[in-house]
Amino acid sequence: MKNKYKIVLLLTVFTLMTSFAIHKFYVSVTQIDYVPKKQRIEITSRIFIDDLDKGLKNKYSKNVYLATKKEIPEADKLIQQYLEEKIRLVVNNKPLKLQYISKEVEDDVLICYLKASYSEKITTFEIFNTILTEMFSDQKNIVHTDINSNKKSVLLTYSERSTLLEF
Amino acid sequence: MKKSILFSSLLAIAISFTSVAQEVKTEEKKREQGHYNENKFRQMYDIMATPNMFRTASGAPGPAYYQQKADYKMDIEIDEKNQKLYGNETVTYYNNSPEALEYLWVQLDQNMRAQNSKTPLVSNQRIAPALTPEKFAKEFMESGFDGGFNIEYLKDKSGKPMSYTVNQTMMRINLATPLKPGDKTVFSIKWWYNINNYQIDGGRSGFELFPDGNKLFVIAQFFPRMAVYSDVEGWQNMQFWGRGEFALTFGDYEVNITVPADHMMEATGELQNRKEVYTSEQMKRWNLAQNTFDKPVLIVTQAEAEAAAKGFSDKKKTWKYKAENVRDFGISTSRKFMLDAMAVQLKTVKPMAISIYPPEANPLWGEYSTRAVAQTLKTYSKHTFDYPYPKAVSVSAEDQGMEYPMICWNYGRPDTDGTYTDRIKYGMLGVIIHEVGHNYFPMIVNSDERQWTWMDEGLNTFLEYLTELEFDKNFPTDRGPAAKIVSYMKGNQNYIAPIMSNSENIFQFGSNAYGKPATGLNILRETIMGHELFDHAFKTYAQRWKFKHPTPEDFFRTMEDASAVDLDWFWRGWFYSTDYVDIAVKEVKEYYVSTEPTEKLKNYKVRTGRFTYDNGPFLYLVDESNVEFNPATKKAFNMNEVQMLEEYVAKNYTAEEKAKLKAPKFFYEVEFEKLGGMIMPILVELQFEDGSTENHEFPAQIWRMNNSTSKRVFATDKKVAKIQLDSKLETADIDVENNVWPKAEVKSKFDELEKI
Repeated sequence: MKNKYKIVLLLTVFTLMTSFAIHKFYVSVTQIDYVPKKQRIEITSRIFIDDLDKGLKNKYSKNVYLATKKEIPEADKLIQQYLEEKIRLVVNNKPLKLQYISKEVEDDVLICYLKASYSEKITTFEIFNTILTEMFSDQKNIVHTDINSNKKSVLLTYSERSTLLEF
Repeated sequence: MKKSILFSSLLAIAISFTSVAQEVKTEEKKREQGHYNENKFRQMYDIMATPNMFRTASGAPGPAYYQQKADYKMDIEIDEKNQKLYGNETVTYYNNSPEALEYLWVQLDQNMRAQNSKTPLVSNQRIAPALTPEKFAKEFMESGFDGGFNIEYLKDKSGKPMSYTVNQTMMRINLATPLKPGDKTVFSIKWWYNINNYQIDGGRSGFELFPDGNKLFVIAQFFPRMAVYSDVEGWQNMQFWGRGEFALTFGDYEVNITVPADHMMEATGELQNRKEVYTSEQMKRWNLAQNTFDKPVLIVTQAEAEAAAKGFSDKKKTWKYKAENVRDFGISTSRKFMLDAMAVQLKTVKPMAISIYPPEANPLWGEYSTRAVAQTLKTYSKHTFDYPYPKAVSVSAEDQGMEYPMICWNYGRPDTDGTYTDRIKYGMLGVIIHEVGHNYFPMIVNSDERQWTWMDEGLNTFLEYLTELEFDKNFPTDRGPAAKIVSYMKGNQNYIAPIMSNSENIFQFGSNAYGKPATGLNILRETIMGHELFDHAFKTYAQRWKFKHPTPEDFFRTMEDASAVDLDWFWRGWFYSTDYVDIAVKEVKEYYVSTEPTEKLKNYKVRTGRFTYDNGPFLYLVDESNVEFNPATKKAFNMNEVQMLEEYVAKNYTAEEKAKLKAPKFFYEVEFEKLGGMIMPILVELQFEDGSTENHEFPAQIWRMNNSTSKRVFATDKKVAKIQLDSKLETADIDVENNVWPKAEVKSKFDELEKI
C-alpha cells in the first residue's frame, strides 16, 4: 500500500514549460523507476505534443497529427519506434529491451508509458536519452530516476546524451 | 489578580524543579539552545527594503519619488535585400534625480549577437560523439553570425564627438561635465547592424524568411536605449545575457522608418502620414474600422497582400510615427502583410485593436487575432486602468511571443491546407492575450525585467488567465489554476529557485516566473483574500505604479495596505522560498457521549485543579480507542437521553432560543498535519453518509502557534463518511492522497495499464 502510493507520486513530475512563454523552450521529462517487487522498470516520458509531432514528421516524413482527430492509425507504432531509438537503457552492462505500453494526453503534453522486465540486482544503470535533440539544438531532456531507493535527476542535452548511474 | 501572579510564579518554580529533576535523571539530554524569531508569520522587516521618501511603507511612490526621462528622434532604414538596419537617433535625457550624473549608460542589446559576445561563453559544452555534417560545420567551421551594433559616431548637441566606453551590451557615455539634477543633455548616435534570421540565429527580433523569398521583419532592441537610473539600482546596467529582459526609461518618440515602398507596416505609436502610405481605398476602410466595435474590418485584404508579395519594389517609402510616454519601440514590416482593425469601447477611451499577418496565417488570424486583442484590452482595463495608448497591435510571427509598447509578435498559423488544431488555435490565442497584456505589465507598470522576470510575467500571466476565461469559458488554460503548479512545486528542490531570484538564475523559467506567481495571485484571489479585497488591492497597485517603476516590495506592500490582509507569511513562503503546500489529515477520532466517567476522567477534577468550582455533573466524551470505551455508548447522541442536559436546556433557554439550538449527534476530533513548509488555510469538506457535504475553512493563522499540527472538533447531525481536504484543489497541495479520511487505496498507473 505505502509502496504503491510512493510510485504514483513519482510518476507525476515537473510541470513542463508551455508555449505561452516568451520564447519556446524545448524540454521533455522522463521518470524511470525500478520496482523490484514487480520485477519491472517503469518509464514515463512527458513530451510536448507539438514538438513530438514535428519530430515524427521529420524522422518518418509523415504527418502524424498527434492527439488530434486526424491522428493517423500508425501513430502508436511510430512513437514506439521513435522512443525505442531515443531512450535506451543499459543495465548491468546489458542493453535492455523496452516495451511501449501506451500514451495519454494531458493538456499539450503527451505522456508515454514504457516498461522493461528486470529482476536482478542493479549495479550499473546507463541511460541514453536523445528525445528531439535531432530537431532542436537546445532540447533539454530531464530524467528523474528512482532506482534501489536512490533518487537522482539529470539533465541530458544534444551534447550530453547519456548518464551512468552506479550503485 | 495577586493570587494568580502567586500561582503562576509557584507554577514556574514547580516547572523548573521538574526540569532539574529530569536533567539529573537523564544526563545526556541537553538543554536546548535559544533561537531567533522563526515564526512563519513574523513580519518581513528582515528581507524587505526599508521604506523611505522614494517608496513608502504603504507601497506607493513617496514624496521624493522621481524617474528619469529619455526622448528619442530617430531615422531608421531597413535594407531588406542586404538584411541590414541603419539608424541615427538624437536622445534628450532629463536628469530628474537629486544627484548629478558623471556618465550615462546606454544599452546596446544587439551586442549580445556580436562576435565577441560573452553570452555563448557562459554555457557549458561537451564533445558530442556523433554530429551531422551540418552540425559539425556549424559548430566547428563557421565563424557565426555577427549581429552586433556598429557605432559610427556619438556626438554632443554641438556636433562634437563624445567619449564613450563599450562594455559588452552596455555603453558608458563619459560626460564632460556632470549632468546636474533638473538638467537635460542631448546627444546623437549613428549605427548599423546585420539583421538576424531569428529562426536560425534565435532572438526576439529579426526576420522570418518565406519560401517565396519574402521576409517578415519583427524589429526590436534595434537602437541604443537609455538604461534606467533609479533610487533602487542606481544605473541598471546589468548585462543583457539573453534571458533577463529589459529595464527602460519612459519618453516620447518620433521615429521615421524607411522600407521598400511595397511594404505594409505597424509600429509603436501613432502613424503620422497614413494618407501617404495607405491607398485611398485603405484609408476609407481604416476610417470605417475606427467606428466599428463588433468585428474587425479588413484594411489590407488577402488579395492585396498576395499581389504585393509577388513584387519587390526598388522604391522606398517612409513611415512616420509618434509615441508619447512609452518605454520602448517596436517595428514590424513586410510586403506580405494583410491588416485588420476594430475599435474597442472602454469606459473612457476607444483604442484600436489591430492585427497584421501574412496570408499564411489565415483563416485563423482573420477570425481570432483582433478579437483576442479587444478582449485583452477590456479585461485588463477592468482590473487595472483604461488602456492609455491609442492602439494595440498583434503581429503574426512564427516561433515568437514577444511584447513591445502597443505592438507584439505572436506565433500560431494553420497548416498549409488551412486547417488547424485546437492546440494551435488556443496556443495562438493564449500568446496574443499574453503579449498584448504585457502592455500593462511591464510597458506601463514599468517593473525592472532585467532583475525580476516574475514582476511582469507573473502578474501578466495571472490576468491572461482571467482574460482567457472571459474570452472562452472552456479555454484550456494551463497557468493559473492551483493544481497545475503542483508538479513543479513538488519537483526536485535542486531544480527549483524561489520566485524572488534574478531573471538569469532561474531553473524552469516558465514555472518559476510565469506559472507560480500567477498561481499565487490566483490563490490569494480565490481562497485567501476573496475577489473584492484582492481586485481592489491589485487595481490600486496598477494605478499607483502606472507609468512608474515599481519594485517587488511596492507590490507586496500595496496588496496588504489596500486590503487589511496581512500577507507577509504568504509572500515569504510563496515568493521568497521554495516551500510547498502539503497539509494532511493525520488522525480522526470519533467521540461518543457518556455520563459514566472513565478511570482517568474520574480524576479529571483533581488533575485540572478544579477543586472548588465546576463540580459537575459532567457529560463525558470518550473515543473508541480508549480501553474503557463502553460499546453501549457507540450511537448517535440524543439530548433527550441525557437527563442533566435536558434539564439544563429546559431551565436556561426560552422556547425561541430552544428552537435555534443545534442537535449534534456525532463528534469528531480531527488532527491536521502540515508536512510542507508553506502555510495555507485548511479547507475541510465533510461528506456525510447521505451524500451531502459541509465546508469549513480555517484561516492560515491557525498555524501561528504550532507550525506542524492543529486540531479541530466537528459536531455534526449526520454521520461523516469521508473527510476531504482541499476538495476543489485550490491550494496547490502537492500530495492529495493524504488529504482524505478514511485513507483511500492508491493504484500504480502501471498496474492499471497492465490489466488492460
